Amino acid sequence: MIPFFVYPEYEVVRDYDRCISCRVCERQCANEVHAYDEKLGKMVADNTKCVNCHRCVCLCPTHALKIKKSEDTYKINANWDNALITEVHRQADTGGVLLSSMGNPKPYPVYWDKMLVNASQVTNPSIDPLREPMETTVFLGKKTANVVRDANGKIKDTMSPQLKLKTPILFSAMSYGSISYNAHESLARAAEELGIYYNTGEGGLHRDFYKYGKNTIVQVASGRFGVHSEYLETAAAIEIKMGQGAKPGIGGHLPGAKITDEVSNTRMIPKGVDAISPAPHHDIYSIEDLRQLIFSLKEATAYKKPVIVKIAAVHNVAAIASGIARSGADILAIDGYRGGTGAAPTRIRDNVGIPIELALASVDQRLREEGIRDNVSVVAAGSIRSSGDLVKAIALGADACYIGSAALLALGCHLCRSCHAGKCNWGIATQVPELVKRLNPEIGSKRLVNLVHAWTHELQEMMGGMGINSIEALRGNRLMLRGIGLTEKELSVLGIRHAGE
Amino acid sequence: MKIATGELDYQVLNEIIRSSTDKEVELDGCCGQRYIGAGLSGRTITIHGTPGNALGAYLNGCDVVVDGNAQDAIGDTMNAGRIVINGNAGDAVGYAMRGGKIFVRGDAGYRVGIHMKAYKEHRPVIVVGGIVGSFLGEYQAGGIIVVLGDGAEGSPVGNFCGAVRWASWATSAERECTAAKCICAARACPPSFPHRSRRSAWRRSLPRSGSSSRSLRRNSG
Repeated sequence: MIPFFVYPEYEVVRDYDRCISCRVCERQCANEVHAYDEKLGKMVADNTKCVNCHRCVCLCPTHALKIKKSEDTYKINANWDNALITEVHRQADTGGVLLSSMGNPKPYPVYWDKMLVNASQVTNPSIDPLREPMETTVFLGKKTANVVRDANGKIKDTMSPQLKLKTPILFSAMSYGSISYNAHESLARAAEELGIYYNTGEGGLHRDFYKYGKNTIVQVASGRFGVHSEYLETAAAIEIKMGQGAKPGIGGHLPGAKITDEVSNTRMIPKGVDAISPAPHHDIYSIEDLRQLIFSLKEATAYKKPVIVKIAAVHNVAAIASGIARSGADILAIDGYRGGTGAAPTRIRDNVGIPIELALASVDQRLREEGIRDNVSVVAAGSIRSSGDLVKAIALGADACYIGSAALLALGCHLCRSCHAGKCNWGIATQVPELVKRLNPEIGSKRLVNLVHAWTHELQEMMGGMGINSIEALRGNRLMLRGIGLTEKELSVLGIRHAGE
Repeated sequence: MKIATGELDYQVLNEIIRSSTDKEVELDGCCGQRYIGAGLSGRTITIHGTPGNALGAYLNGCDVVVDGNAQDAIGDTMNAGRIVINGNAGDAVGYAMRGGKIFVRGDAGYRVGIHMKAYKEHRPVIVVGGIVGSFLGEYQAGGIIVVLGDGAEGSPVGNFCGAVRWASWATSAERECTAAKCICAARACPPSFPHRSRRSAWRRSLPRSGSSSRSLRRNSG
């Protein structure tokens, strides 16, 4: 049988009037799309290798390049679209599971875009954040409801350890291994400057980054990579990863090729051997078992650090969250199905899990109904794309939000969704030294700081408009939201009214 | 330091141990207190009685000796040190253990040494005198697990075990130390073995594969 030729999805378009054959594109492309043809005396491109990362477009000194969606198509079919046909062909060729990266790109409804934010008019006047204080600091952790007094009647300090954030944003868990050393350094430096936190993911903490410990959340996942007492001691908080929005129910698998000397040292595993994080924790079969892991971590760190439990947003998320809120966890992180990943089976990423908006609303509602909302802080994750999403998430009940994809975009990511190939031209999702050095941590951290400052200003503007001057007063304040174009059921799950009501 | 453990709450007990500067700690009448020795280093902890779950989790260089039985999740993510259980142990002994040694004189439960890994000078070791349940050494990526199979009436291990290599005698373990290996030996139980009669529910549920002599012949070498 003849092999199928799959016409490339994207085409490199070169304006030869502008091209000066300087070969910058050739040097910049790790996928080897561009080449100089001696015979023709001009640059040529192999479209089949292009992932549309826009590195060449950005760096072409004469702006001679653009990438266009290919017009090649199979016979138009509303049911069998081009991607599906191609994927069936690929799987028939290889027998393999399809892999993808970053968040779910499918056209499911985005509920953030179907909610509108309130503003004050006439009564309850709006506030100008430029002339009045606007509090964006939040504390994450268990809020003790009981007042306990000692023998002298003095109130005892029974407050659980808290994470103090200057703005309600944290950088999501992204492991060293899935992203580069320079990407991690950028995140760590930005977190320190911003008074927020970044998260090591399950790949351990590089020796060089121990100095950022007070702004670091360390992760403990089923593989326990790089987990030892010093790692736990150094961190500001410890996160137990039960699930990830991009691949609920699926573990991690870092191929041996990505396990370089440094990654091996950080994960404390042999070089070049695949690192497998099993789908479940093999010592957790119940909430009681989860409680055991939480308290073993608390014991190992003398109860000085909050413990976060991160789960993927799945169908019974509210009931699961209720269990976690009773398990001794201080913070609950919920990751929606649009959350990013360095690699996930395509079918899992695109079909498993539920939107963070609905998960967050139902969790907040359930915890309130059961009177245990103060047992945990809730961090929402899974494609928080702008300060607009952030405001809406807080109004739906989040204490803060994790941002991952947005942070990577600030570092130069163009969402080509090819992280799993390990040849990121922007030096983010790669371990190739020549590519990693393209990301300057000095500039990277500055860009992250800019992004979070910008969002914080926008957050303050929107809060001011609502006549609200602290995050505390916005959290779970669903009267500040109205739905647009939503069904009764969607409105009831979100716990909001329709616009005009 | 000697502590009459009794029914002390585990948080109170562990705080006493943590805040003490004594290198030697002895617990008397231990009664199920969890997380003893979690994350500690440089101590010798002797336990009379039965410690609770997660004994020596994240242990980083202590010597822990239990004179009786222990429960689940002993030495979870252990980095260095030694844990000796003179009785039986529960499930998930040495989960994701990276270094140090765990010795169980009697039997151990399911998922022993699951996700064990070696790294540079760290080479974790688990030795179980009796028999173990299923999923021994699953996901093992380094280190060594030896099951002596004392008193096994058939296979000394349950189903779905990692890279098991059958040995007629456990000393062959020494030759195999460089790679990730589980080494299991089935041999007759010496009559003086003290914990043989304590047979837990999981052990009774193990599949039986004929008489011990037949299975020994089949599995040897």
